Amino acid sequence: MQIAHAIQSVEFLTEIRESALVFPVLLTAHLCCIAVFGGMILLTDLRILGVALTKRPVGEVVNGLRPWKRLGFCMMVTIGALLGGSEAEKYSINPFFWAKMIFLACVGLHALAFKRNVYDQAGEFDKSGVIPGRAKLAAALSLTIWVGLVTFGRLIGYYEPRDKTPASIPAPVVVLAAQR
Amino acid sequence: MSLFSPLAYLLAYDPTTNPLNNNEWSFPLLEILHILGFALSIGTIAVVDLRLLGWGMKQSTPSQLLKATAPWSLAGLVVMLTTGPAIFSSDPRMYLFNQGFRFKMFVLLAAIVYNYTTRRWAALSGASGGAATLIGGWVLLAFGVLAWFSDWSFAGGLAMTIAGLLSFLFWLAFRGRKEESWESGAALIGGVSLALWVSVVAGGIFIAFV
Repeated sequence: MQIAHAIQSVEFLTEIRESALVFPVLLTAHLCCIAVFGGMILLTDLRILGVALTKRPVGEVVNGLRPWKRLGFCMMVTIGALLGGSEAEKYSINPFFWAKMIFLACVGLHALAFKRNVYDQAGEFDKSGVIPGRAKLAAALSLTIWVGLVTFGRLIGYYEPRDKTPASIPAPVVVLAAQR
Repeated sequence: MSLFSPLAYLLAYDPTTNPLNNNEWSFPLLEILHILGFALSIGTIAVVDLRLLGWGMKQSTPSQLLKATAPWSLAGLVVMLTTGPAIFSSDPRMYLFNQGFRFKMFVLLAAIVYNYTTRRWAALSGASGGAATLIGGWVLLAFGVLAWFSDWSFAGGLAMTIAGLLSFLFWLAFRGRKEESWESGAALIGGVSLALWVSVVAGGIFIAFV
């Protein structure tokens, strides 16, 4: 909790939290990244699964969009860190936030597990004409991870800490509410 | 005086019995589907827009990419346009008076019209006669000026008017030209399309902040 407080007390993070414009602008940028680059990830996964863009070579879909997805990922994480850092105290007790962080860690593990033997070899799949099982597994896992990230990202805003429930409201307030 | 009489009906609607307001899970679930829907549609649209700008999947032509991605963009749009109105129904009065929402509605209309007229023409390198681009440009211009002057959304109407004017100019400059000379114009069309979709997302976020 102290760490979270220290993080969000950093001057520029405090400024983000307290400004009326910067926070929604960052949020917009974060969501635009999800739309543009997240959409590219969905499209790549669907291509590898043999569902979408079947007339375009796998190698072209994977390699052509790769630099864009990397750029998007860096932007998303940077902006996400600014948003998260500015509200660190709130997020550090939010289980949905931590669930999202677990999915984010899965993104890294997924890259470690599949980069070399799937994504770096995408061109080979076109030559052989067969998309191997491990590539389809990688795509299916990627889809799952990204849907999870988006889901828990949205749910972060719906968590209400326990101590805001009526039971902890000071007695006089409850009495007043009952009289009304 | 109201321009559209169905508005009065919407304003009188009492959302307290709306299922969305009576359980904890349905509203967030719809929002998650809404986000996934626009990720699919805007992501696939962006792939073609980037190609028009000369970036991304350069081994394919814009027209090949447009044909391959169009069904997925449409699928995403359908998800967006079903979950969106459902979310709207949870509190129509709040949304109708929200400047973020109004802006979003006009840029969304602009983005969809533009997507299926001007941008389509550019991605297919003028394979058709361009009549759709003229009609699209006219619709954008007319609704844009209407939104602008009727005080519905100044910024939304302005964005729409600009998109409409650009469609007209693009049609004037590029009709009848050979495919090879389309690059600079196509880049402009792709850029405007991306800007319109980014504005839609921005409008959506600002609903909660204005």
